[in-house]
Amino acid sequence: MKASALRRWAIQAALLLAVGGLFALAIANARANLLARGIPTSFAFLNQVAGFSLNQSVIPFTPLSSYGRALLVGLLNTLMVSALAGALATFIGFAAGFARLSRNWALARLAGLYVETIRNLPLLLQILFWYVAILSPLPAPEHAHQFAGFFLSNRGLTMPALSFAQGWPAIDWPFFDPSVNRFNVEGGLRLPPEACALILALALYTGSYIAEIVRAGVQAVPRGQSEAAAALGLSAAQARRLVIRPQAMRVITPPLISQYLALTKNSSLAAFVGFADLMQVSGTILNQTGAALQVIAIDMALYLSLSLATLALMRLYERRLRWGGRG
Amino acid sequence: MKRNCFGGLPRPLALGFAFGLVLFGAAARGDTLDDVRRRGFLACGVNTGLAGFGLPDDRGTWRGFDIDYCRAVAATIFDDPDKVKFIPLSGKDRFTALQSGEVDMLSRNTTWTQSREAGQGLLFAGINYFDGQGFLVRKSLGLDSALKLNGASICAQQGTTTELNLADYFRAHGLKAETVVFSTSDEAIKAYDSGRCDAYTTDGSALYPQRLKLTQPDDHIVLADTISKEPFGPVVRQGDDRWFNLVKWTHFALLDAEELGANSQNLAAMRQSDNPEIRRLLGVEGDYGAGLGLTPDWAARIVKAVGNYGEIFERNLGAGSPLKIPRGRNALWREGGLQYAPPVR
Repeated sequence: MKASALRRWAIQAALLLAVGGLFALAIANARANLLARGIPTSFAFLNQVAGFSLNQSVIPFTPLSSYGRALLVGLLNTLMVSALAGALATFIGFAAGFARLSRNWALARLAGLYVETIRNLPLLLQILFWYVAILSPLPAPEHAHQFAGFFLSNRGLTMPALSFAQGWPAIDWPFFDPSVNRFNVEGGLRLPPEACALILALALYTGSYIAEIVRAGVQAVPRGQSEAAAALGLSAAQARRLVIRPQAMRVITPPLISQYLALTKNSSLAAFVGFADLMQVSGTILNQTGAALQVIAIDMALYLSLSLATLALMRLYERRLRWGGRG
Repeated sequence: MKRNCFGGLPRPLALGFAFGLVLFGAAARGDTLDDVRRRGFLACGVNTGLAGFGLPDDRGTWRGFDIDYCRAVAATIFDDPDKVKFIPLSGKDRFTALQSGEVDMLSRNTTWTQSREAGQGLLFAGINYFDGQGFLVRKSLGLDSALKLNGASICAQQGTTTELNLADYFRAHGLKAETVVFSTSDEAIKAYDSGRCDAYTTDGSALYPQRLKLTQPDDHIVLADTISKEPFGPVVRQGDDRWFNLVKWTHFALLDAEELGANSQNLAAMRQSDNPEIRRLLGVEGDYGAGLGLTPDWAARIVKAVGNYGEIFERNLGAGSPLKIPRGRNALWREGGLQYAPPVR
């Protein structure tokens, strides 16, 4: 090994050691400080009984479940909201992006109005707006709007669900019967208004950014490309599918990934409308146990893993888009 | 770690700094009283807004039962009840703010529980209000008991004992309920008002003022059921006994003053009293302030500034307020209540 290479290695190793040492020092110091203040420092609280209930959970959760399970419920709720809002945002974003490029004047202006309005309003304001906007006009459960087994009321959207309660698959139809429960629709799967407002606001907000990314991506493909496609005898639809789209997608994908990452992180505003996402559940746990540093460390690790997982998935997709020596 | 108050910084930033200090600061324990004196004001964590307990009036001056406790502590230290900075904290933020040193004490209807003292490094300096949790429902439901809320949706504030009591109560009676929790009580009561929930639950003392925030207060009633014990009191950090004593004895001085008949109006006359208990309390005889790091007239300063316990109660919650809450369990022990303070001697 050459002397210069050796020196480079030595510098790298020293830097790594210094950063590692700083971390170790910080952790040891925090432990000492917290212990001195009588604040718990272990992660043992995760196995303790939570004692509170959560109004939205995709896995069984009762007040007798542990804090650890409550965190898992929060994480799954964050994932569910992010996935649903992400899918919806992609649809809205691509539709609005193409609409802005449309030769139809009214359609293009309408899409422009949507993008410029939504993009320039704070997300929290929009979430609170949709929560009130969804909640206010909806009737109480006994007067719920009913359609094909779906119940829409101010308690949310209840839909028929697949149930394995009897051991075999069956459809669990929602119903309202005051003799069973005079307050709420029973059975089925329920999306509470908090989740609806959050998904809608996140999808519309992120969609407005995606629309701009899509527009920029399509416009980034040189005009000559569509002219060349036409000269080769491809129809307009063929040119879009075979020439424009592959090139546009390569421009669109990287900023699109950032939008999905931002959406997942933005879903942490759920606490403001009472939706039990990771941040909200953590807030409760933090307050009940006093284990602030541990809970925040877990949250950071989880959000980071979520973002890195999204990134890895999208990189895979991005690689598929590359071909030849380009990209 | 330095116990400074991060002035006008936004709370997330201040908490971030506090965490930074926990990570990298030295574990040296500051003396809260010295810090407060050096800073020139008391940093008091209060409710984000609860009529009667802590709410800014139309001129922006904080008023309420809990507010007067902050003022009493400031009065005994500085002889000036206005040397307080009120820092509004939600149920979820309050303990972190106290632990990190952002506030010197909490005075915001916080329930004394075992785990908060044994597990979270906090100390409750006495019980200044005995409360219990109740329910607010629509009259149209025709309910006479909380036990008939089976299957209902119930709005509550996040990170409170309320949330836990609710789950306990329904579990104990084999009932189920959907709990919808919000980070502040304002958001929770708004959601209840909009029809999201069939009931709103919180401490009894808060149900009455919050009912007045509804669009049609007369369409709602408070159920008679009380489902928990909610003893409220001021809270301090563990590890500073002198400061703990100071806050605790501020509360006791307020009670002793009421019991001995000393109030903000008759203080000068009371100083001339021959009653040795009154003379000791007001600092005419002996020096009972030194051990708390205070002057001999420490208790007289409190009574001069905010009155005695009874005056604080009547002004903010009782007959002199729109809430008209009866003294009940919060009457002095001699009058059939639970309020009892050790003597100054």
